[in-house]
Amino acid sequence: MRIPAASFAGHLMWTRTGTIWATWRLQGLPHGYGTDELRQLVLGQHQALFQSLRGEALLIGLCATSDPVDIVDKMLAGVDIRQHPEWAEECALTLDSLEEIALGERAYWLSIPLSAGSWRTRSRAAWRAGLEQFREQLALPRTTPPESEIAAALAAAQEIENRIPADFFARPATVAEYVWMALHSQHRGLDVDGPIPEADNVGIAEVPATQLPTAMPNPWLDEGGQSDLSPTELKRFLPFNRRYLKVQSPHADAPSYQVMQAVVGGPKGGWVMPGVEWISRVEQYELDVDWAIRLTVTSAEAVKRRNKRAEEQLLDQVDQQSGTLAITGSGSDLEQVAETLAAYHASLNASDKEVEVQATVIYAVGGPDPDTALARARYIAADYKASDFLLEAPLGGQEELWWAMQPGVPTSRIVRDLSQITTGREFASGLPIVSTALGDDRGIRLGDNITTGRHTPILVDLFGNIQADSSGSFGVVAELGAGKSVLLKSVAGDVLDRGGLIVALDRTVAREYATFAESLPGTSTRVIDMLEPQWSLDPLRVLGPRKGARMVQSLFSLMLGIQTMDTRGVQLSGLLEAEYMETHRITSLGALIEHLRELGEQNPVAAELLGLIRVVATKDFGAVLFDESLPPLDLKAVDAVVFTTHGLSLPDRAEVENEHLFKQMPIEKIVGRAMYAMLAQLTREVCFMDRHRFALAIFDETHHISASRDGQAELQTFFRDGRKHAAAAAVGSHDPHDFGDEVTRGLIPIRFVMRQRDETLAKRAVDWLGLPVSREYVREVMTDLSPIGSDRKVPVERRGEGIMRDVRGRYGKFRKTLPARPDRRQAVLSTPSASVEIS
Amino acid sequence: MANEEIARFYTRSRRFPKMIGRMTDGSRIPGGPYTLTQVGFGGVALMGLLATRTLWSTGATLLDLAITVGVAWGVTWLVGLIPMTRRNLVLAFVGAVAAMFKPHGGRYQGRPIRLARPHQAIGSSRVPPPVTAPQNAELEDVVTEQPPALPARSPQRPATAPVVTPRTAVSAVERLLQQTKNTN
Repeated sequence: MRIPAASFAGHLMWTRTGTIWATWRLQGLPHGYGTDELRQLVLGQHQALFQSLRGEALLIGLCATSDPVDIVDKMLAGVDIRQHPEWAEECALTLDSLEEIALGERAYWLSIPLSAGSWRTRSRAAWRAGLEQFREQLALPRTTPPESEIAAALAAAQEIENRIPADFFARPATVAEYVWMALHSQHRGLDVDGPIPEADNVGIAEVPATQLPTAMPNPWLDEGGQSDLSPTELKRFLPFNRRYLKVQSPHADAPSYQVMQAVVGGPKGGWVMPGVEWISRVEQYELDVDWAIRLTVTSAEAVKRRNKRAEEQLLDQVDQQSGTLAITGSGSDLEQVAETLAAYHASLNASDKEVEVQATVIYAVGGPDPDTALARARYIAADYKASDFLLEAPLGGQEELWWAMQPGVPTSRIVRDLSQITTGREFASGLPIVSTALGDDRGIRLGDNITTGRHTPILVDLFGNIQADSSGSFGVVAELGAGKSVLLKSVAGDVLDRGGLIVALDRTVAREYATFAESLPGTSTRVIDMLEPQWSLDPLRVLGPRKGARMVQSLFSLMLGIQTMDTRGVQLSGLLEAEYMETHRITSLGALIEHLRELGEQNPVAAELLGLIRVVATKDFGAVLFDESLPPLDLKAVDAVVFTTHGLSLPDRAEVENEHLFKQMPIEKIVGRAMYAMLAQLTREVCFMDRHRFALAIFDETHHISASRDGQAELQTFFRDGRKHAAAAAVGSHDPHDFGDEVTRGLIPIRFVMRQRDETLAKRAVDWLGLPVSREYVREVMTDLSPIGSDRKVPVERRGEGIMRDVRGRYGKFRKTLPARPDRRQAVLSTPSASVEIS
Repeated sequence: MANEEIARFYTRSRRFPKMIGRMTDGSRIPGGPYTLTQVGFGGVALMGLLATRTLWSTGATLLDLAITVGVAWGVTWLVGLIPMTRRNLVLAFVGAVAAMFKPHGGRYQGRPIRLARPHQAIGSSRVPPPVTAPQNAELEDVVTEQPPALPARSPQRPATAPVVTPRTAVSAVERLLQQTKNTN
């Protein structure tokens, strides 16, 4: 067997045997976590693919390494590093850390020999193949196929392409990809591969240089590693323990040892579908397993004739084998055969589109030495055996199977011998072409995708989502210590580094967000403590008289019970009219008190107002509003604003909704409630200020905001309108119900659920994610995410695990990675989350 | 789940061991049924023994026949002991034998590599003698008359020293690397 390529034209390959093969790159369908409907959809698309094929086909799934540079490039996209050196440093360090881990994804190709086309095209191709062989003997230069032949073949390939279901996004492969595939199969297990050449749709005319197949590397193949033994050794003739292939590529220093195994049997009773994805199971391993599936698809009509013959043979066999032992004899096997045949016939009749698929599923693993390769192969075989799937590495067939995994090679006898017969729909249950990609194509590195054994970074671009007319808001649900705050803080830090603005409401005694924000170098941070303020939040001074007046009115309405439409409210409104304020120089709440004092001498309503205001103004929590010696918060010049609210208490729902409880409410709660509403409003003002700068509002322990109706409304405004103002909200809680009612919860597009050991809350979390509240998912959230070890600690390598739903509605498992900079890591981790104040 | 679907391989419906247990007239073959492989091997043994009878003949025709039938039956019985696998037995056997005799040097471009034995490359060449000596002597004189070109010590490199031009960055990562290099 030699490299089959004789000439290329675009995605077409003329082979030495005269057949023309066409190859497409396919995209994996989202799969991993998901609802039953999603699974059925993915299954249906696979089924449609297999049922659309006729004749031979080769489906290839190869593990490709991704370049860390590529990933960091995506992290840098859209950020000017000259202005954001912090982000540049993070990216540079990320690049270093990515160099150390194996990154990769699986790439899929579908390769089909063109049997279509007129007999003339085919005979011409065959004639040319013969001629080529002859010319080669005479050392004459090769010829390329004439334009007319290329055009005819392209038309035939187009017909096939049209039949591939659109969800696979089939794209014609390039010559570079052909070469990559050949090199990859020669370097398997050596970790010397480059990333897959990404094609930007190179037409035929652009690749004349590679049209000749000289770019295809010629391997040196040695089955059983005979060359590793001495020619005189007797062991040479005992190949049983040497079921591997030694491949030396012209571009590698060392040989690669590879073991090819084929699936030779499945569970006799069958397997549940969807559920047992037996082909894509290899994704769960941490080692790279390549596979190729040789398919021969036949229409049901032809198969029924074959089955008829099989039945006749079966009947004859019943006669031939009559008289053998009824239970253990060969005759009893015939009953099983009859049962299988009956089931097959029924299955073929299930749909008019049904086809027979004769598939040889070949798994290949490689290693730098025979023992590694054999150990890897044994590992896979053992794992498949556990589910009753049998893998066999045929003795003396390793080289043939290796060739069978490459496009352009005709199906050999051993491949046919190892093939398994089933229907299109049932073969689709293996779900070979799947992907577990999560997140966006660029942005901050949120963490690693741990849905499968191969861990790839998840990038999230919140601002990009907003620019793409989606929402950048996200929510995290987790129990204490599961990593909720770490996730929120590290995202906040990244947003800042990329030039965004963050506003956080921090209610912890430890002031964790304040500590975090203050530890960030190069940012102008404002921490406003509600009880010991260094900055004034007086709305009239912070927002100016016009916007401030409105906020004062609603603040007083909540805090002092001054209803807008009663005499006091009307009086207040009159005082806060713009012109009136200007003429009387009311520029702050302090000035307002002063003015009321003057007015109050004649006006009893003003005196009453003054009295009311003084109830709050004289207390310690009044300082943040009424102390004129404090500088006002300068919204324009800040990068990070943190409101620390410890000391403010909030009424519970019953106290707000029950009139007699409401009247008995202590002043702390009345003021607390009003303050929270004002803070929420202020946060919105800050975030909505600049349409060209991304702003993220962080509401950890969200139930404090959503306890009041006003707070809930503010949150909803964020989720609904944030997009228009380049703002997003990040909410975190133990319970998704804290995020608001069903509508509000549903407005959060990106969702994270981390460990939650309480069953009720875990169920709610799974439900909020949008996954079916099944026992498996609930158990996963309760016990499988960052499980706590016997020493009551989570092992380091399992911290921060969770299930996420990305903006495109795909699900998967992630693990939060920490910032690459040590100081930032320290800042993010300083979380004594247990010391949350109890209110 | 209520509507659980079951998928399976139907390979056995098509590929099941074919056996021969009855004669054409319907009577049972003693010791049967036999697999096709058994019949094949037994048949080959029978034919082989009959054809080579002259080599091992005991002289007694009846005894010869008995031995032939006995050996053929023995072969059949032995072949019957081989467990029935999913694969074609003959193919598997051929594969195993092929594995034993794989070329020692591996294959390259479809051909087994045979390393040539080390051998001496013998060849001859002639070196023409120098044309004339006097010319050389003259040249040497000229050279000695020249002043010693020793003090070429001062390096004149600055003029031709390679100017390090910062490469213009292309991708964002290159820019990043360049920036980090500059700051270090």
